[in-house]
Amino acid sequence: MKKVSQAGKGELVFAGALFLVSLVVYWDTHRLVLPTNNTIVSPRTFPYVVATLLLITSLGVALEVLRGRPGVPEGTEADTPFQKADFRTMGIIVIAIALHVFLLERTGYIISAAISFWGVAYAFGAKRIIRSGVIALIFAALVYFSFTKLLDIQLPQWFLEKWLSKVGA
Amino acid sequence: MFDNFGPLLDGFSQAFVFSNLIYGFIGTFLGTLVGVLPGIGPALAIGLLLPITLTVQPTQALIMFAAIYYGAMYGGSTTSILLNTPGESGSVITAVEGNKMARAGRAGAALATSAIGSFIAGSIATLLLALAAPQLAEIAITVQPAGFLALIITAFATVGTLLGSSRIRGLVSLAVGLTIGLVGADLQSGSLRLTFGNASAIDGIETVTVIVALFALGEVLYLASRFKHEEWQVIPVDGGTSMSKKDWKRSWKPWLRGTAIGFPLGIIPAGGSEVPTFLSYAVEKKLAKGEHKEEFGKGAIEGVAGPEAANNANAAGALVPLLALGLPTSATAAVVLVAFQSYQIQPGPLLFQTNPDLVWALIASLFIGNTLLLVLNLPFIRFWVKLLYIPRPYLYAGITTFALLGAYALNNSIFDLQVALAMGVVGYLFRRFGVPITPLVIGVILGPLAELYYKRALQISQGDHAILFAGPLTKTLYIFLLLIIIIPPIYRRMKKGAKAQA
Repeated sequence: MKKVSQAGKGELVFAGALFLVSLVVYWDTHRLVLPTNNTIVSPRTFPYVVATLLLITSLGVALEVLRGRPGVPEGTEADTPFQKADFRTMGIIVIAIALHVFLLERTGYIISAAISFWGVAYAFGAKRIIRSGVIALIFAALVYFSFTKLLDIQLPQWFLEKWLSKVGA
Repeated sequence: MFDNFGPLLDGFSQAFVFSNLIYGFIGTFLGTLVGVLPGIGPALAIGLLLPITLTVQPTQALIMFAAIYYGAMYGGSTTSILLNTPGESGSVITAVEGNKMARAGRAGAALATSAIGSFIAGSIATLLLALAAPQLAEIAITVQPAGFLALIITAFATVGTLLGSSRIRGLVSLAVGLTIGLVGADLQSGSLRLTFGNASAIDGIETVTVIVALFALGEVLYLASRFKHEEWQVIPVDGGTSMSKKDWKRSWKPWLRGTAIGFPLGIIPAGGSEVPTFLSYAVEKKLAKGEHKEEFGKGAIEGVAGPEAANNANAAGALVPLLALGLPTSATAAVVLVAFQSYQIQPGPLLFQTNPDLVWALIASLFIGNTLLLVLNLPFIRFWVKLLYIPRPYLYAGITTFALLGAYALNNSIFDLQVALAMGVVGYLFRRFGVPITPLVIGVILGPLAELYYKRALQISQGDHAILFAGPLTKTLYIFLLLIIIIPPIYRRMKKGAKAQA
């Protein structure tokens, strides 16, 4: 067995997580409430097959890594030294998306979309934050109005619009 | 065989209605627009544009999809040639050989051979589609549930093992997709699986959300993790986009050969356009002689013409099993299937009987979209190239915004957005560890279908499993399956053995 590199350790954790998921599927299937009417195929059969496939393949991936054959991102050669992932940039993007999820039905579309747009742009190195903030707001407003007015697709209103429609009514 | 031309003409007359032509035009425009953006392949382009068609009539929406489908592919090859960032695996070869041509100052010729080649391949392949799909559908009507199950399992095995460099990683991707497909109420018994008390999860995980998040958010996160500061170098298109007489002479055979390779490989589940484009490239390299052969790897026009034609013919070929069997064989076909389903249209053998106008309008629109593209693409190339100069921060911010919009707008559900965030992270991990994404998408879509056919088969036989292997179709498919599992390892061992002896 070869020495597992730093990146290989990461992949072992990845394979381990998938292995755990397969156990969760087994457990969930086991405690499944069966229907009272008689069915020829139990709703448990298929999940058990899937869980077994996931269990075997996740172990297979771990085995590959331990044998010194870690996964290589498409487009890079096997011997390219692994660059450490830029977790800070990724973190900002994940937070920006999470904020969008959290704010969307609270502040309305324009504000939450502008915030996530601005966050991702900032993560990718948009330096002038006021300028990118203005662009984000304009972009979000453009998307909002073209979808709600032109395409009739409803998106959460922002509080001002809500308030205006209440006053109007 | 020529019975099909009557309905096809009806389809044309439907598609040629002025308002429908406008939808085709909008579709080609948007498809190219989104497809040109770096990092966006046709699957993602259609996924991102899905919300736009939510309020459009089904026929018009299908016309738009047809146009978007081809438009995104044209746009993608433009980007590959000028920027060397393939949006999908089918454009990898174009990115290599076409980009070399562009660097050598032959960008115009590369763009022209790819556009004209795509048009020719697309037209021939669409014609073949119009001929083949109804025939296949007619045969498919007689296929029993056990036969469909065998077809799906074969698709699983080929998509899972053919894609990417590592078979086990393709299969793990498939297994994750099947697991995601389990979530929600079991169709027959109503038992809740993997919902963990979450009411929003009862309807299952929205496929579009999975696709858009995997491709868009996963890609954005992956680029952020490694290529934040990468600089792009867009190669300017000097002069016109035309081909010399010599270029034509060198291109027309590769176009036809590419079509001949791409179309049949689209029909069988070979996992998208990766295999046919590589195959076409290898064939052209082998057939080239003298100085042309020398050019391969440095920008040979045959190496762009062939694979581009193969790519487009493959895309049309993938529509054959999709329309006739209801089985998607590539990520792009999977998104088209979802688009159909959002209009309560279920592709499959019955579609040709229940909704023939729709199918023929779609096929006619593929022809029209393809022609519109030739008109739109080359003359306006300077406009499309401008899109490549969008600053990267805003480009990725925009892609993220549209992906999140697409994930939400389908059901107006916050749960879908939470799923999107999670799938974005999964997409990143898959890229990081070299796990292909297409098997996951196929697993999510075909997993529930596989279970359904399994149950139907056993209902017919009253629980006797022998029915799964009854009939010539199932036997042939399972033998084929056995062969593709057994042969590669034996072949590899023999190769190793030969090396050891030498």
